[in-house]
Amino acid sequence: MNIASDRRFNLRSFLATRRSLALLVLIVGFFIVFSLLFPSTFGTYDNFSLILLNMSAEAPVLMAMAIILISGEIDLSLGAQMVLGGILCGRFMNVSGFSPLLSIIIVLLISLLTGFINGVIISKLKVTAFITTLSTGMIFLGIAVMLAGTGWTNFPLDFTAMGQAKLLGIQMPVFYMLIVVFIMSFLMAKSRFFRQYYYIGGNTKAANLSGIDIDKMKIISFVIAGFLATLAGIITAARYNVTLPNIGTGVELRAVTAAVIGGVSFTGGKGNVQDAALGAVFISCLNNVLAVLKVNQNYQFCITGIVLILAIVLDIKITKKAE
Amino acid sequence: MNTKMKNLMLSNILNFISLRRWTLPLGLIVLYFITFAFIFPDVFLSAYNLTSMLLEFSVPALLTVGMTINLIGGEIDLSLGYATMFSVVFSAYLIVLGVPTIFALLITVIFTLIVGYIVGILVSRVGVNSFIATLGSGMMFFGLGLMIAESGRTLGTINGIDIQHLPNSFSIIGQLKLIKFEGGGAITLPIIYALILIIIFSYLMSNNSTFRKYYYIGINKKAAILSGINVKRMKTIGFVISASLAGFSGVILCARMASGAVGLGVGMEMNAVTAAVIGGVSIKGGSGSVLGAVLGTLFIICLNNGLRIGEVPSEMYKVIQGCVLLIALIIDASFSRRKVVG
Amino acid sequence: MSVISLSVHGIVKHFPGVTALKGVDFDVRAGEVHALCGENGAGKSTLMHILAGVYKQDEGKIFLNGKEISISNQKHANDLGIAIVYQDRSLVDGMNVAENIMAARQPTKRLSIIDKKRLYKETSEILSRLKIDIDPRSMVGTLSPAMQQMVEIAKALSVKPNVLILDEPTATISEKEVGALFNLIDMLKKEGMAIIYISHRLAEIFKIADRVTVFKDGKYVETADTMRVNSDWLVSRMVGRELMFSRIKDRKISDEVVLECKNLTGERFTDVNFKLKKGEIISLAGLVGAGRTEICRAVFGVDRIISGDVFVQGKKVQIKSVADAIDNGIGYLPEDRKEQGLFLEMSIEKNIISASIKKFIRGLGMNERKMLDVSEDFKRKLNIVTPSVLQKVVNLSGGNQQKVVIAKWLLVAPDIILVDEPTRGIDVGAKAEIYTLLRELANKGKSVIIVSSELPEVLSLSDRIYVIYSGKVLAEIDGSEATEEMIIKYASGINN
Repeated sequence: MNIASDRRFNLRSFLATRRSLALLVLIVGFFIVFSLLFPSTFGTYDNFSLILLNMSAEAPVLMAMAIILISGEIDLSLGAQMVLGGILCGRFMNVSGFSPLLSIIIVLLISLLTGFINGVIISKLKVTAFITTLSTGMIFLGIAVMLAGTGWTNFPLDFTAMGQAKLLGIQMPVFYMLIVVFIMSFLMAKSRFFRQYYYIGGNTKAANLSGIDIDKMKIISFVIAGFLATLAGIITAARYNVTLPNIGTGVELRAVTAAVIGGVSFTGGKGNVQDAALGAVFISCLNNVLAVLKVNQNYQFCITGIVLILAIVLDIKITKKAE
Repeated sequence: MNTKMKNLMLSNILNFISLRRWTLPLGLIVLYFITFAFIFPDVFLSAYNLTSMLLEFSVPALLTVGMTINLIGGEIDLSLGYATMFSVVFSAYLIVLGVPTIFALLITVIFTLIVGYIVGILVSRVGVNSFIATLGSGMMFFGLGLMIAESGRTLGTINGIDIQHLPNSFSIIGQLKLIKFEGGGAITLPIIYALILIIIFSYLMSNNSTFRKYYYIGINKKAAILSGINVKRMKTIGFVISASLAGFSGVILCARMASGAVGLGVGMEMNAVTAAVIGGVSIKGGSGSVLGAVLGTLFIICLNNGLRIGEVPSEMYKVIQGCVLLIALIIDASFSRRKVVG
Repeated sequence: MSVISLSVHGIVKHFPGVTALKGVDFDVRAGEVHALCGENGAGKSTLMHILAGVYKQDEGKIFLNGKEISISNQKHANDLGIAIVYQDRSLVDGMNVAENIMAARQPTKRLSIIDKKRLYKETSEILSRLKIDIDPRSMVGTLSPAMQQMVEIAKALSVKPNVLILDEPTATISEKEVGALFNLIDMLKKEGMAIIYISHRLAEIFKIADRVTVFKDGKYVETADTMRVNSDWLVSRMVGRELMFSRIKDRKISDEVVLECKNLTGERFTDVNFKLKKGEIISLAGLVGAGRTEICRAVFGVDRIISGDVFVQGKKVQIKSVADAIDNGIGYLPEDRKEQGLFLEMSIEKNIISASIKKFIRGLGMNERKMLDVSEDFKRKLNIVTPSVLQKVVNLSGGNQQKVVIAKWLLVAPDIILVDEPTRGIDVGAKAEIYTLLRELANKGKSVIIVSSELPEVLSLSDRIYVIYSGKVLAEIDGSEATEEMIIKYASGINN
């Protein structure tokens, strides 16, 4: 005889674990419908790869933001770190004359430092992440602007090749994105180390009592975030063959939007990075459709805003209903 | 003075500052003024410079007021910059269409007010996180703003007015000089609007029984509900106020420039948060004051002004602002660890 | 006489400003349940935190199976075989049962990749050994509180401890589920586990514990076999005096009905009917989760009333918000007074006026002088220990914080007061003060509804008792005729 038993079918649990499926269905459905409606403009291989390409530059930032959100924090300096990465890389290549490989390595190493600064201020000095990263973002962006002048272009060929070469007719950044998303999804789902972020974001007090070193984990999360953002900046510079100080504007908020649509909870502990990526795919599709329909590009902002709010309202209603 | 008395004095001073967190930005401003008055007496203290600073301060100050009310109540409004930008282009559009100034103002403010109300409902009744809700409404404002700006361009010239050249009948509400000084410089209407609204809201938030409820809500929402405070209504009002102030600021900004230029105002919400935090408002809610936040705004304006006069390269502005904010934060973090009278 | 598993001697622990433990001894044997009692501040939790590895003692020794040990951190405590189930939830709602139970200890393959198969297998084994039948894949956030408590215990047991510490395990579960918990404890006892059981619920202690120890003010007082003593003994050791909470017989109650609910239905209760007369104290008795707090919250305007009517002083009223309730003369002291009744970072003064803000409006501002005077008045009347009413409430002791909440509602001066668990988290000494206060209010013509899970309290205070079961009023019993057995019977759903 059992001491306690609860095997009723749990609707909430069912729905909560099926968000990936819902998103996939939505996206696939979208593809099918619009491919049928506009076979020559929307439903082409080139267009599909364009949809993926458009989100590929910022995808590492999205991954970074998703992890930070899951751990219960936020990072508003990612755009600045992205810009700084591109600018520093450009400067090393064009001014200091380093090889692309060396430049990339140095810049990535520096990114560990910028992320570390964020992490230390937030966890050791106990300043809220929102305002900390707002201020460090200003500083990083300012430094980038100071170093940039008018920006650089005409990078060495082997550098731009990384961003512009095509494989199977699809540009390389898409593959980088797929690799990053795959790695981060795997780590966040299967690695015991990374799963700890769910505990930290879901129940900080309990995570503390379980012996998780929250300070260390938070610092690491911001270091990883900085690394990914900087990577995004390098890829962007390679793809466009130019570095400009305004490339990263608004990327953090776009990342939060995609993550929330993908089911990442703003308060932490819920959601996963692959769904966040699906959220970004969905947004990219929407924007692409607008372009194909030759609709005023400005509508995309309104539509994204509405989708964001709808997504979260739906979330709230579903969790309430199934109670 | 022996050590005991010194410690007592120090303790009292620190208590005083913790109680009145606007002393920090005020102190910063005073320090700043003294420094720059010393280094650049002619330029800095000229009527022209001082009034320009006040003018520049008027719009951000109003946004900061709106942001602060929400922050104290435990929420945030990230749409303010976009709402301002929208109001600039929208009011310009209306003026080009021939709508009289007063109606253009009213329609714009009512529009932003309604959006603020919807956001308020989403946050207080549906339970959407204010960060996300205002992120969404901000995007809406931005998209709408861009579209109206485009339509404005295609409108062309009507009765000699186009969207970049607005008539005096409109621009006067943003440009009228009330007090003129010799050698340039004048107190213009926007400064007066800002001062009046700042005084009103500052008084209300610290003395009025209804507005003081924001502090209760920010500190413990559940206890506030159980104390009979209508939290839902208060939060909605918060977003209505911030949106309306943004709408109003946009119209005045447009009048000042006599042009419905796109891009004015974008990003200002982050400045508002920065200013509020420097002014002692906590992001978590429940503490700080409108006065402090406004002083924080003034400080940032002074800072930029001084940097410009000192011919510091503009690229360094952001770095300096970021550092100042960071230092303010760290100081604030160490203050809130002190247990003091509340 | 079985073997002593864990013992401590002369434990001293200082915190800034207070010495929580002043040299205590304690031990627990394999296969026994040893209860630890004491008022708030007696030092029970501190000692448990030391055993769990959260704090380190300043002086004193700890022995495990006769060998002296030093516990460096939580993980070390687990490795040594000591596990604790805290009062606060340590689970993450967004993850499933298996991941919560094996938090940070998931079985892994190479490169610390989680081995999902082994994770679910080991979790299932733990759950089935404890005879808890839950799907390890279900999300914890979707389980009921009682199930979550079971998961908490399974989590503690998954480290295979020899010593299990339970801190107020029944605080949030209903009495039916307490039975399940006790079955589990019995099973563990038989397997030779040493169990330390902390609780304020004296009745439970006599049901489940073999020995009971009392701490008072950080000092060890006495230990006894539970078979040889009773609750009066326990209470007297805890407060140092005999306390008798006797029922006042033959109170004269007027016939005037101040509050009546007819067919009241809300989300957690249906068709509730009850009356409250002027000067009366009635209780809503029942198991945790029966819906009593929900009834109060609905009458107080916090939760929605789906159907039914509320009559105040004979007139039908619509209560759609807390402000409506207060305007109708209803006040509510919530169960968790600290979390739900106080604004910790605000001054005593601001807290006291927090529900009466309307009373101090002057023009566009507020009457600061009056606010201060009123607060000072309450400080004197209730004897709140503080240098000034401008002190932040967070700086006060627990007992004084309670007084601030009481002052807040005395200021509102409602005619009808709903009190939810009046003595939860209050030490035995202060209980008498609260009872006296409630009786005084009733004698002055106020009417009181008490929600309480402590039967002695219900019996000694109430003029009438309504027993609630599963959201329905099952019985109305006159105070003079009520017995514990009657109440428990109806509370468990037995209706004849």
